[in-house]
Amino acid sequence: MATRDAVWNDMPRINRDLLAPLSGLSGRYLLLVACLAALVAAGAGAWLYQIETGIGQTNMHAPIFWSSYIASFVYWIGVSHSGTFISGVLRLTKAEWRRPVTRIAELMTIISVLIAALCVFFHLGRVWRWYYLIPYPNQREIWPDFRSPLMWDATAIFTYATASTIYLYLPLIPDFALARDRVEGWRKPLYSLLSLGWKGSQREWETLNTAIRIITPLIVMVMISVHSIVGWDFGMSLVPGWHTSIIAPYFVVGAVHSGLGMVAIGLYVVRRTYGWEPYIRREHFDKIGKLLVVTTLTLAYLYFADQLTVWYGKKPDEMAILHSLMTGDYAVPFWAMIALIYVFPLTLLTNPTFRAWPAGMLCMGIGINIGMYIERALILVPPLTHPRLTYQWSQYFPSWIELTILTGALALAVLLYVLLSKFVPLISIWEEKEGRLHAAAR
Amino acid sequence: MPLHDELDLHALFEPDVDVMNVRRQVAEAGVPEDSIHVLSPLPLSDAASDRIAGIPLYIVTLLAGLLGIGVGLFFAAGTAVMYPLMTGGKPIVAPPIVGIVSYETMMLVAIVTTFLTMIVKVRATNSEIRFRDARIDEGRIAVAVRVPMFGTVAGAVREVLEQAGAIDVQASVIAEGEEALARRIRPAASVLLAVGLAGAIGGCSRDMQDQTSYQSQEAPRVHSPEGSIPRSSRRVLRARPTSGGAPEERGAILFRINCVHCHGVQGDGDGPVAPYLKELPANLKNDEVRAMSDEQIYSVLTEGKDMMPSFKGELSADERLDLARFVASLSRPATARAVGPEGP
Repeated sequence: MATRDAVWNDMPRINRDLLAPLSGLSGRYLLLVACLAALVAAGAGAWLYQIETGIGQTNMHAPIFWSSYIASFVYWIGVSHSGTFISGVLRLTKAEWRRPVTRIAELMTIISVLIAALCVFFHLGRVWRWYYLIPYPNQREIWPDFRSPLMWDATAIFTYATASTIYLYLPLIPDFALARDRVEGWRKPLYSLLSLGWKGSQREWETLNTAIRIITPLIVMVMISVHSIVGWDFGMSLVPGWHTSIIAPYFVVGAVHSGLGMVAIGLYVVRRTYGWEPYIRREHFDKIGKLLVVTTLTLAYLYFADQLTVWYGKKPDEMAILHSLMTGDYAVPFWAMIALIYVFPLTLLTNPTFRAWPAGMLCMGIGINIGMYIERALILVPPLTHPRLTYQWSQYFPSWIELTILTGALALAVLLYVLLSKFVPLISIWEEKEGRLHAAAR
Repeated sequence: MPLHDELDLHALFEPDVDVMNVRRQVAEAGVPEDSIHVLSPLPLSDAASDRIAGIPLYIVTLLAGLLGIGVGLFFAAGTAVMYPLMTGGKPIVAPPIVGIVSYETMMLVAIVTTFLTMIVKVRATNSEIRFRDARIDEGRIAVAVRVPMFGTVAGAVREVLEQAGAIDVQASVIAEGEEALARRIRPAASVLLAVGLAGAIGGCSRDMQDQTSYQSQEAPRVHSPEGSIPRSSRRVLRARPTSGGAPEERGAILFRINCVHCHGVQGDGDGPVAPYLKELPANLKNDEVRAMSDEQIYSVLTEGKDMMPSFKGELSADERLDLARFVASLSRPATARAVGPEGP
């Protein structure tokens, strides 16, 4: 264990290491940006085409009014729980290992909330009338109905997006000040502005720490409410398969599950790209793996409890959906989902050697995220294709327009992350230093 | 009139310096506590109980939260009052919903206010410190002291700092009035920004003339407007009974659309509306149906039977034939098949 003096002497190296990504542009980086930009452009083109020719370009039809866009919305909101959960809950519990992980995860939160909001706009038939959603006095006497869960959702997501931006920004202030003193060029004035003239006096630190300490529990509470409300978007309707009281906790746990998977991916990529093995250690993958075991078990328990109730009740409306999942049209995605989000995580992540294996955790993260995406789609589609009166039963698979737009959205998420990595230190520098001092003091 | 120019002394120390001791000595040299700042690359203590003008920050958060509840009440309860949904002559008032919306606005206002208060406090604190040595982040601790430019205090403080082992002491002059000017410009810029934003919002178009909406008193439109979304999926439309597809598949689709709600998904006579009928729909797998030829089933479909209506107007002759063949296949187990694209 490093001594206190060693940690202080090591600070120039920590600064150098963690600020390194901000400078220099490699050919590979530019190529990646170009590829992602091309995908984003394709998605934007497809969206423009959909706006021009109408929402009929999707494969949505009565009674399937919610489909891939809303499934993606739910998925991305879920991913956004990575940052708040990791950094909020771990900060509350004073878990020291959070330090190199929080910033990587918080950036994911901001970007995925943004993408989630975008998915709602994809879904709007007349997207240029989006401002009808905002309550403001107008000559049309149009006023949003707060009795609708969708309005609770809009309120919650606005709160969540604002709060998580603040939550990302707070611990960034000292790091922006650090970068301000070390980076030249067009970013310098921006860092100066964003660092709020940070000097690092003890009074500033106390103010910052007080604000972080107050906001942390609040944002954890917002996080839980946001995905509960996304769950209630479904749960409040009488559609068979959605109308269940377990849906809110189930959504929250599912969100954390996919969020943790995404963090495992992020940790692996960042560590590999910048050679940050001394910062993002095997221990961190191990901790994420342990949390994933908890979410796997909780999610499996909730899912089993819900489906068992459906199966035992044998209500025809609900059984039709269950049958279509287990043995019907959706059996292949259903069993793939079961394997990806329950079976593999449970069998592999309970093994400590696997948890400490970064490449394995990367694959697990990808698997869990694919599985959770399927899970979101399976929450939406089978109940909507099996309404109570059978004459409306039908099928749904996204059209190429939908797939192009959603691929573009995924590419946009990665692109934003790649671009932000040139502007934001991906590991909180002062918190990393503080963590090392704490470790030395123990 | 005496000059009030001040001097900002900035002394850099190795991290093992006894900061509290330096602070005390500087204070003893005649500098008020408020003018001494200890700068470090990370918080030197875990203290997190900051006060704003004597009030703990969490109280500000709580008050803002209450205000946020008010905002939520205004929108959620206000909507219920201004736009009542009448049921049985009474408006629906939904307290749980008011609660949910108020919870979110409470959090929003509380978090944003805490954040803004923190920014104001941080700015107020660090605008007193003139200079920051970038070497602090390399693992040094600095003491910044603001002293009057003229007089004995500046010299005494400098001596204290040097004796305490400062690696480097720098001084910068703050001319009187310089900061006051900057403080005056900032609000002006904010006002300009606010006016600009208000103008931008005010400029938004509000006209609805380009909307081809359904007019009041307009006769019902028989056909869907061009370009509207079909009622069934295009997947189903492409496989429309009259336009190709295997005959049994066409029959299955027609069966699902026209028969299943009474006769059930498997044709067992247990469809979702069966319990509400005076007479139970036939089980299409019973002996009576099994004995019928395709033509007999076709004629039942065409003419109707007992409670069952005629489908002559609903389905073309070809469609009725496809459907009859499918119904016949239900009672012959070898060819019996699942119904519809999703049948269990």
